[in-house]
Amino acid sequence: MSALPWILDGVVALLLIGLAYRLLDTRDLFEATVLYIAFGLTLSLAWVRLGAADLALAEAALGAGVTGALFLNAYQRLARRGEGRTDEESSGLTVVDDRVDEVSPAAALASYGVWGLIAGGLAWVLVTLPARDPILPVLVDAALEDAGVSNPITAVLLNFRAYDTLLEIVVLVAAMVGVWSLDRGSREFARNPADLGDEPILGALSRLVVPLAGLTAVYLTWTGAYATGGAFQAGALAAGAGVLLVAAGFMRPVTSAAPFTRALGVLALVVFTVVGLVSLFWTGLFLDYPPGAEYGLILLVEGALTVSIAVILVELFVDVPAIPEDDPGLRVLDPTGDPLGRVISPDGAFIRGAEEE
Amino acid sequence: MTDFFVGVAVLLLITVAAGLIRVARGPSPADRMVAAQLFGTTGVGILLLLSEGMDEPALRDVALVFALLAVVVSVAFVKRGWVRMGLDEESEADRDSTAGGGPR
Repeated sequence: MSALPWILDGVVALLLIGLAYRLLDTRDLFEATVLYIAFGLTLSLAWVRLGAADLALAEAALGAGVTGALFLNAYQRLARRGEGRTDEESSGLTVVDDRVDEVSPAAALASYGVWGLIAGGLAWVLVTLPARDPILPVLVDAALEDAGVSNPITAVLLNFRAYDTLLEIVVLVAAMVGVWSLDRGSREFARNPADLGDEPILGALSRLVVPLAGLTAVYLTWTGAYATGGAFQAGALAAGAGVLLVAAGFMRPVTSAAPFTRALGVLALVVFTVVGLVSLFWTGLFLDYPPGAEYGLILLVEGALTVSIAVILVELFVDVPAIPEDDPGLRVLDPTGDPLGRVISPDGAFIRGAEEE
Repeated sequence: MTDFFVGVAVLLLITVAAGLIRVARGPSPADRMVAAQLFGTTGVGILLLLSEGMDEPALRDVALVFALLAVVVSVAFVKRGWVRMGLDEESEADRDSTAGGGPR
């Protein structure tokens, strides 16, 4: 028994704690953004070491692709709104810090005491918990033969507890509707195709990475039935490729204004519900797949989930609400810095981009 | 041999940790971003080594995802993270050194 795995786990744990502390502690929003990306990658390694390759895959796909880009997007908007002010003013963190300075020693002590109790309680639970749940794995193993898929995680997600997954896609669709209702101007704008020739490296890179990511997404959806993979991982990966295409200007942003986008976004929800209703008529129970048809139905739902998740995640990235019009920071905008390549005048009209419609 | 793979993974992880100091210290956004990119690249190596060392082939898929998506954040950064610099700095040199600074 070597000590090396322990050292590895120790370094991962220390990195996680250090990154988490620093990213909450720093006043620099950009630093926090980058640290958050690094935190996601470290978390992925932690899942690997905990033997949860599925979670590692999901964390890698989400953290490295969509979340990072989403945070950079948010940073860009915050930075633009704070134009002319210092970092501390624009991030609004100064006020909070002043209050912290005024806290009396007794209150601080009480606060540390409460947090210490919570931390101690969590540590106690962690130490006393059994290493492996005594019942659930046995139940899953016993039912796996009838599940239609041999990957126990997919069996739980899409068969035994399929309604959980159904509700998850409802949450994603709700998020899409929420973002879309905030949207005030990010309609279908793409960059001028004539500009694309100016960036040969970006073009070559996208042509190489995007098809490979698409292929891998199909592979992950397919392989989810019997090995590590699944619709969420595949959808997040495909969304990463979509974000790359949109950010580089190669794809017209899939905003919810387009009926096609809306259709793809709700595709999984519709397919999943129809499958549930069909099995309701067939077997008498909602989402209790007819015997023999499990594999086909799960694959159908997984495929639809991959498409919808990818579209919704890209949509969340693209369909950001328009910046409030009275912001003086809007007077000068960097054309290439705008998410959709627009230039907006102080009164809210599009100077460039709108006439390309 | 398992020990060797895990040992090299530990070494790589420590180099990543050293790189993360640059994320925290900056000073320019590009410095921070490049250091984070180092994590993406080295992460592929760490995952492949662990895939052998832990005898878990599924980790190669995770490494594949790392490799494919490492570029997304860079492109998003180049295309969207440089707003600040375009607003008040004219020269390219100034853009690199003053943007988005913060506490050192």
